[in-house]
Amino acid sequence: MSQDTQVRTHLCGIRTAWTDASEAGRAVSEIAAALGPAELSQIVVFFSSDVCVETLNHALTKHFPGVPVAGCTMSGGISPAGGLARGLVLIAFPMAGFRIVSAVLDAIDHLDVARTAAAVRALRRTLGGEAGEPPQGGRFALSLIDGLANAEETVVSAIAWALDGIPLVGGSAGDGLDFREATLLHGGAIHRRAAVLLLVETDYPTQIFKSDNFEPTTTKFVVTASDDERRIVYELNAEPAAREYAMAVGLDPEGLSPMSFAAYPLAVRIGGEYFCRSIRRLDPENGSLSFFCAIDEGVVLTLARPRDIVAATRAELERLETQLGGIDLVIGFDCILRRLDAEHAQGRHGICDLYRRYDVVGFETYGEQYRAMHLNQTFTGIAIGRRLLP
Amino acid sequence: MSGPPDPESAQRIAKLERINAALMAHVERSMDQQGSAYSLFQTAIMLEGRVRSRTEELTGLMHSLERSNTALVAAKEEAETANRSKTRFLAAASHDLLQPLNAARLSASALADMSLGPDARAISGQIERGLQTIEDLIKTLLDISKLDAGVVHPVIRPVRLADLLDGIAASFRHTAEGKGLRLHVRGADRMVVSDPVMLGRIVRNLVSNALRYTTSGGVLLAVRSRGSVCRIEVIDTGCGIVPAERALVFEEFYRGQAETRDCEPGLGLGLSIVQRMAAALGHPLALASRPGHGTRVSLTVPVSAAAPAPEARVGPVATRLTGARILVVENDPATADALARLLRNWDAEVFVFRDLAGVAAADLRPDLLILDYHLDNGACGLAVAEHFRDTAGRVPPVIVTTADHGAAIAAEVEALGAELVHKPTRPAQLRALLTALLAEAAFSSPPTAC
Repeated sequence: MSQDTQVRTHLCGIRTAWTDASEAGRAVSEIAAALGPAELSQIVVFFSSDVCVETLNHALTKHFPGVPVAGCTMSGGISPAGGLARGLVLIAFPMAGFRIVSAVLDAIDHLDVARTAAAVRALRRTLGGEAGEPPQGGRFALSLIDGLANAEETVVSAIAWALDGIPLVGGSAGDGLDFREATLLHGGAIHRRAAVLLLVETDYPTQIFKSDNFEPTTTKFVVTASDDERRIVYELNAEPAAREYAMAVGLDPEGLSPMSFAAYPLAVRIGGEYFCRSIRRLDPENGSLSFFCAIDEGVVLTLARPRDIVAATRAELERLETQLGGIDLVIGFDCILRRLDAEHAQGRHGICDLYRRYDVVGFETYGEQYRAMHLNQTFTGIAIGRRLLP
Repeated sequence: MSGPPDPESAQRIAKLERINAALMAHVERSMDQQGSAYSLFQTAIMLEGRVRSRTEELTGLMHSLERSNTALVAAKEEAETANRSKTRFLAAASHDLLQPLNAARLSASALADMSLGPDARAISGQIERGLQTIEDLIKTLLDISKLDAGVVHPVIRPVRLADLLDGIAASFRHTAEGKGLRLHVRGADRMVVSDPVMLGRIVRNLVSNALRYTTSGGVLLAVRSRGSVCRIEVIDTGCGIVPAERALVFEEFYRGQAETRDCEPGLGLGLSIVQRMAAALGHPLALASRPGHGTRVSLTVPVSAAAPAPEARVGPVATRLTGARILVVENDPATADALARLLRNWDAEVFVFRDLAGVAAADLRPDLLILDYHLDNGACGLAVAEHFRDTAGRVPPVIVTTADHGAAIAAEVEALGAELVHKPTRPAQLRALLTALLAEAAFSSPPTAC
């Protein structure tokens, strides 16, 4: 095994492995060797966009024959050893204590909501065995959604409708801020413009969570021209969007970068609460801004500013630890802009410390799902507790 | 005066108009049923918010219910544990107390049997009475704890009040006469529905209490009909109870402030038992009193529609000592006297003889025989049993008493099918034995008329 491949076994039997090697064949064979023969119910894998997905798919099929695999591209990995700029992160669920079913949703940019809901209900039935049979343990759902298909709201609404209260968390697959293509793996095949849903039933206590770290200012923008389908805002306050935003935050419109978007997030106020609506990128051609989430003409955006990201994240993880009576591991979905924010605020080290302390595994996203919501600039996930349910 | 706006203002106005248009369009779209991707997000949050607040509300409610439930369960368990341990403690304590008490009574009766001077005899009598009081107290406490623990289950049936009340009056007549008080029963010609044992106990306690606090005049046991119910009233011309004390008289160990001239003051438990038994029977209990004039305690009991069952007369004999006809043959007058007094206290009808000749002459048909083994002139008490077998063809249950612990007598008694009780007799043991034998006899053979 090379120096850069690591494996960790958690108390619940889940094993996590990660490597910053991008050569998929070698990475998977090393991880397979480190894991050894084991009865696995599911493999979930997150990989950077420079990993050859065909090779990866082939290697996983070869080294884990018969084990269902779900995965997606990431914009950075999260491992119990800290963050990974590239490589792959793998979660191996044991047979004992975890019953997992999954489905892929294709062509999510033209999603048939009714059919999606029916598919999710069918999935629930598969997990539940006979109809009406009570679940054996706690349940949760994980979503992996193409973060460049501009479809998370529709997907997550359809799924949540059919989940009927089963808590859902997930992340949007990205490509490390290249904004070209996200890729998903499911059932031994490669999927694009797709989403993967996993339904997990476990004997261990679990708790979903979301954490953010911003506060609103008094600066407001009204979206006056936009392309809803493509999540592009052309105008804010009847001015070119990039210029109006840059002026408000005191930056040069040409100099706007993901780092600026991380440092000066925008938020909408709904139901008395603020939710970040993160800017994906600046189009220098027309001065428009595209978003990681649905936008609409007439939406009022409030300029926000980040608070201490490390303190906010720590508080949430501590709360979870108390609530669960000890965290075994966390499967987390952390916004790529939060990493930039942490780096900017010199908080990256503190965040990596928290990943280590609470054994967080996951990836950096283009958006996070939490119940029926598609969020931005948050850290969502599921914490698995140390106790076996009675 | 108005002219065209300057270019800057015109631009501002144009911008504001467009912002306004965008906002209006958005507001209108958000009213539409057809949802955009953004409105899906908005809906999700609103739903999430509603679900969360509802969930929080329900969770909060559930937790508070859980908390109060837990507290209630804990309190209930604590109370039940306390009650159980109280009952257990009382049962254990009364057992432990009755043992040395029996020993003390044995010693006391042995002492009384010695040839003593009159002073010593008086002291011995006092000791015996004191021990009797202690035994009563313990038994009463045990009864109270049983009532409180809910292990007493009334056996409800028609009861002829005349029998019950006359019997009680008769048993107190001696006490009343001793204090120069009248004791009458009026209007008792009724049938009621109750547990005769418990009802008898209630009335006895009330009468005993009335007599204790009455120094002149008397006590009247009156029955008044009120439709489907009747009131059994115990009316005295005693000192009465001041209003402040009325709620207290039913408390355990409460004794009236009024001085009693009784040499044996009450234990203060009588009315407390009365109240518990009345509650267990569902008979309302009421108290009216005029200080200096007297007190009336009334118990409301349902009237029985049924005619008196033919077993009504026999029933008491089968289940308890009230009215049981017990024949005692004992050559020692003091022992005979003591035994007779004891049995009469239990409301039995007692016939005492010194020897077989007396028994033969009386020609009675008792329910039970208590025979002393060693009679005068070398006679044996067992001859009395043989007499009954020869003349009546049937021997009632027999208890043989003797101070002789020899095996020969034990064998002889057993051969007769009789029970052996060694002297000095322990009242509790005797009572238990009597009850058992009478119950057995009533069960196995039809009653015999006298």
